[in-house]
Amino acid sequence: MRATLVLLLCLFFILLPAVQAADDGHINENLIKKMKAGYEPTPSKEAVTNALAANKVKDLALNRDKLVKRDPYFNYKLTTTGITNQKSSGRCWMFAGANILSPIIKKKLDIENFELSHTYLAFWDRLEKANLFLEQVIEFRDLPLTDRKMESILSSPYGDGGWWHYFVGLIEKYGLVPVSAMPETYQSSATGHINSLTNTKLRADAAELRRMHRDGKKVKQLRQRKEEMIAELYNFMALNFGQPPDEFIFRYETKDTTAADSADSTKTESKSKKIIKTATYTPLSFYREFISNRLPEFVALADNPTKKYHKLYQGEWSRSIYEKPDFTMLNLPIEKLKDYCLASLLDSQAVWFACDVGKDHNSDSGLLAVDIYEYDKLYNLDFKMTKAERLDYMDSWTSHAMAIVGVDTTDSGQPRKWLVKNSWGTKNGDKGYWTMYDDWFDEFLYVIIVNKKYLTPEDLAKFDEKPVILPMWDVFSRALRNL
Amino acid sequence: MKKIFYSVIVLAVFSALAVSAADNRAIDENMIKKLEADCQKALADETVINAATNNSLNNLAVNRDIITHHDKFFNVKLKSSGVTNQQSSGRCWLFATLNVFNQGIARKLNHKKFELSQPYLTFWDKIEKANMFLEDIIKHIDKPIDSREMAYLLKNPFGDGGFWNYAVNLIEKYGVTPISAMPETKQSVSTGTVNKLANVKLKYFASELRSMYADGKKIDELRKRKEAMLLDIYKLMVYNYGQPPKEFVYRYEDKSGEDEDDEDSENDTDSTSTDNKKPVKYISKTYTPKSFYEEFVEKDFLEYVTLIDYPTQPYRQTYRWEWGNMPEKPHITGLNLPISKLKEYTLKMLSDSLPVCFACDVGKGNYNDSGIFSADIYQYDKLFDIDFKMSKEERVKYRGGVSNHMMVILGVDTTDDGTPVKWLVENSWGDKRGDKGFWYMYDNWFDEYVFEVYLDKKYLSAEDRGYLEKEPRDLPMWDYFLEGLLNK
Repeated sequence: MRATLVLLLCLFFILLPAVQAADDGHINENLIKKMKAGYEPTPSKEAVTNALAANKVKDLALNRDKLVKRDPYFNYKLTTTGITNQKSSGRCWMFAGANILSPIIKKKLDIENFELSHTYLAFWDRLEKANLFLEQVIEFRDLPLTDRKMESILSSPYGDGGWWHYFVGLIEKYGLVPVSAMPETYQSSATGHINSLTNTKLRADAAELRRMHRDGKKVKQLRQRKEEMIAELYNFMALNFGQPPDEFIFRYETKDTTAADSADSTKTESKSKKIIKTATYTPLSFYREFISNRLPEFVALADNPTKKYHKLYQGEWSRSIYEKPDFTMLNLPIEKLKDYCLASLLDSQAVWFACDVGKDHNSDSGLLAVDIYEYDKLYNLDFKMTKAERLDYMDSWTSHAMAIVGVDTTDSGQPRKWLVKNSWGTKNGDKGYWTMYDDWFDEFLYVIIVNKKYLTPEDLAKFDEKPVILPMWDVFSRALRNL
Repeated sequence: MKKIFYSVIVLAVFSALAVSAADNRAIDENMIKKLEADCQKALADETVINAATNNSLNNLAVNRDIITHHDKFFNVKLKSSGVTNQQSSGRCWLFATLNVFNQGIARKLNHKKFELSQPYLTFWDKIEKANMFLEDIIKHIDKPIDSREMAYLLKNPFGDGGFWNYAVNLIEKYGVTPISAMPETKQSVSTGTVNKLANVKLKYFASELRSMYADGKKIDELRKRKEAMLLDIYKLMVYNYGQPPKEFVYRYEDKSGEDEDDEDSENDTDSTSTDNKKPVKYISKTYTPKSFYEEFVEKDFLEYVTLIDYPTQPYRQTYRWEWGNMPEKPHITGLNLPISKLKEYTLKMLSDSLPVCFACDVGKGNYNDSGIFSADIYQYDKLFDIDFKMSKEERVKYRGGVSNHMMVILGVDTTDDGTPVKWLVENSWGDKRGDKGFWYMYDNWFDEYVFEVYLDKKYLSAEDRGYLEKEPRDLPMWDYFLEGLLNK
């Protein structure tokens, strides 16, 4: 009897702290004991700890099986232009856009390669973003600085990031030039420093505009001052990038097709005969001649499982050019995105897409494959989340844009893997190309841009509906600047 | 007459254009023309374009006058206990805090060098952060997923960032060990991948707790589940850092009877001096982290307070943020005083031979090559003929930079009347950067870019000490002032 009582008492005292532990939320002595007891050192665990003490996690978690089993074949592969390099800048969206347009120009001119000037577009992009920011400051002049809207815009007045429609907007307004007419500079290839200076300048400008407003100045006067601010930034950019050309002479080497047709006798010679052409363009005339009105035909399709499918969404202030509309996208299940991707590729049209490149990505071999790193096996811990959870809990969103230029399908036409053209130079990936497995497409691809002619009438009709407006801190609105 | 008429018309057309441009919110053709014309005037000097398009801007903008007038003298100078290196991690706060403790222990042992284990405390810091995050998730379990609170909690919950008080809380609770008892690992010096993995895990746990709650589970049940989650985080940390020692043997040279080394004898190495005299005596003893802390750490740090210069908020008032690293400890607080006060008290500490831990915006005016912090080391305004100036207050208001780094002040150079000219700073970026790991902080940089100092409250005036007693004013968790040190 007494023994039972003692035992009960003991049990009571053992349980008491346990109950307490669950109550106070602290890491207390009991919990520390429990944690230590939960980890039993074994020889194999110690070996893992030794390996981790001396090596990169990724090297240890690599799934060699996936690495070995890859093959380089794609049954549909588009002809493309050369691999470009965005270097130390966040201009992927622009480079991916150029990878869609450059093949069109290359084909039209029948030349070896064509590269457009990203510096030219980046120059105007920076002025447009600055203008938009200062307009936001004027628009929100009565909001306190601690308001969530002000916090959103002030956290990064200027950033390199962008989106397909930024690219389209810039080209429609400012045209485009070949890289020779406005080449890369030290500052356009490594933008960190001028970005922080630009942000300092724009924040100082914002402070001044709000001060003017407080002092009773009218919106019209703020706008006048804003113009001077933009002019200062123009000078700053001209020093860093050089001034954008008003017109330029474009010389290129092309096959002499007329000679080949007319002179049959000199057949062997005419095959290799090339002629050099010279023409003068303005950036806009160059755009009109080679791209004309193809751009407005493209629409954005997204897979965001946290929001309703078959609905149109629009991010508040998701544009970069003040007078352009905000960006809209149709939310569709991922299978639909794949269908349209395939339709586009089979029609020889490359696809611009945005994804979270930070996940399951092996840069050495250019692989985008789910579980290429088996962290769960290395640590005996589960790291799984669904695509919706990753979005809700801010673990993943679009961080990079690239172009899909090929696909490998099964005999029944099911995609197995996709060929991706990146803009990180030829030293990364497989000489600049990546292989994206179909499961990676499911998990980490969020948006594609396709020509609307491939859409079913039902899906196309959705673009006429009134979009659901997303606040500027929504993952999808914010992602535009993170690219 | 006709001429005048024409010019009036021309003028009218021009001003109409100008007005329409001013009304226009977009960058239109008129504005572009203006921009180009205006720029042509400014771009007379093409060498500037050539320089800027081909070089790093810091090289072009550096103010040579400051470099040529720079000297390395300090009239108050404390001894460092050895420059440390946080490597590819955001543990500056822990390194800076421990550098202060290291000096105290080195002095006690009469050793030139001493280093406490940073990974030992990081190990527990991460466990505590995981717990705190999950507790915050439980606390805010009723808030919608897209609320501002959730957005802040979900931003990098397993980040490396922290404050003096985070370190103090950890030292009090878990004790300390010398670096030999728990050395750095590949993962502790390069924290990116493990942070990413743990963030995934914690976010998943957050979603699990929230769906449990949605299914009608009680807070008690969530807490129980939370404990199981922490076991996983503990496991993850052991794999990457090794197990923290329960006890360890510490062996060190007994120099208690010897004279303190003076500056002149610094060139003599320890071995040669002992060779000539007597055999080296070692002391060897077994400690737990707690007993080591009890024996070697002076407890006056418990009296330290945080002074801040938060120029957008009223001075002479204490503030409290909704952040902490342990649920059983108070949230982060700081007494807001003008920067002149922060300097005054820092001087007092230094003249009492006490180092001062401080937090600053290290991204501005840092000439890394020579280790100079000066507010006007880079003359971007002259290079570009554009004014980039903002006051400290405006910079904080417009999110243009707050504290993102912590270091230790070891000395000061003053004019004859006691006005500080420059301060000696010990960094935690190894001995290959700055001047062998040290920086010279000019007084104007202290004014502009220092936001926090941590010091013993006994140095404060009675009046300022009085403000510490008053109830702090609460600031929301998204208050910008803390963002940088939290690594958000």
